[in-house]
Amino acid sequence: MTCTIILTPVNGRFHAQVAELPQCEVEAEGRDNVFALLKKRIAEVVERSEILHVEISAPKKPPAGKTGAAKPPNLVRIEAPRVVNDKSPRRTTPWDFYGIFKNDPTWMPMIDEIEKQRDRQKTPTMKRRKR
Amino acid sequence: MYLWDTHVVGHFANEHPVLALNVQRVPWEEIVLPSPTVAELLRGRTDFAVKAKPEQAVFAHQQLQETQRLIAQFDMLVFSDEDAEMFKKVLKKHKSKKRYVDLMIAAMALAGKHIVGTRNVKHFNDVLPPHQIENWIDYPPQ
Repeated sequence: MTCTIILTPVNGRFHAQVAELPQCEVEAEGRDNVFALLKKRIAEVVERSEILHVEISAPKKPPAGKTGAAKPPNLVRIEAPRVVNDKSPRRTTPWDFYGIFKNDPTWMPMIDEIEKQRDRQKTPTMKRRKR
Repeated sequence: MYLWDTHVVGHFANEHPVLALNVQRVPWEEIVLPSPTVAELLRGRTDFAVKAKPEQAVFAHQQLQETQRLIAQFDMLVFSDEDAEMFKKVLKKHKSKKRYVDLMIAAMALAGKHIVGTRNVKHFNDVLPPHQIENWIDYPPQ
């Protein structure tokens, strides 16, 4: 059995840890001492353990920044009108949208209501506080 | 440019035949929505969506999305500093306090030397000169 040992000097002593066995961790003065202790600790662990090689397929991780949840079909991008002087290519008349709400019984009543709201809306004025 | 009043957009989406003839006589990029028109259209649809009864709510929210798609077909002329300066002058001159949004759109037309496309000519003819108002709903192209 071959192990990877992480050996770190700590205040004149040595700390040693087996990378593959996190529970195998010792500290002692001198390299020889720390290796001897570590071998003993490994033997203890291995003696009461069974070593198995099992293949585990890792779950697919979603790309960073994504929740991974499938997008619902009713999720849409909000389209904003292009502002005048936008440098993107000019558009042609969108005839697909001509009559788009002709079968919507709420559309023209809504437009009429907007007109009425304009009639009702007066110029805002700054109200003076009563003294 | 031609600034469409809100109800002109309404007639476009309602398949008005005379409006279609007028649309064909100018390049599409010459037709723009002033931002007050965009605001009114979205307010109308959002009001409908947030106040809809359960049986109407799906339809109301779908139509909000469709309205956003419709608006996205236009260029929008955003109310600017120059428009605001002109708006102050218009408000000072027209002390009737009437129809605030009409005056806002009229100020944008005056500041940018644009033409307002509207059916309600009388709402603009005391603010704009005749050559800056066109009725695209009742009069086909000559």
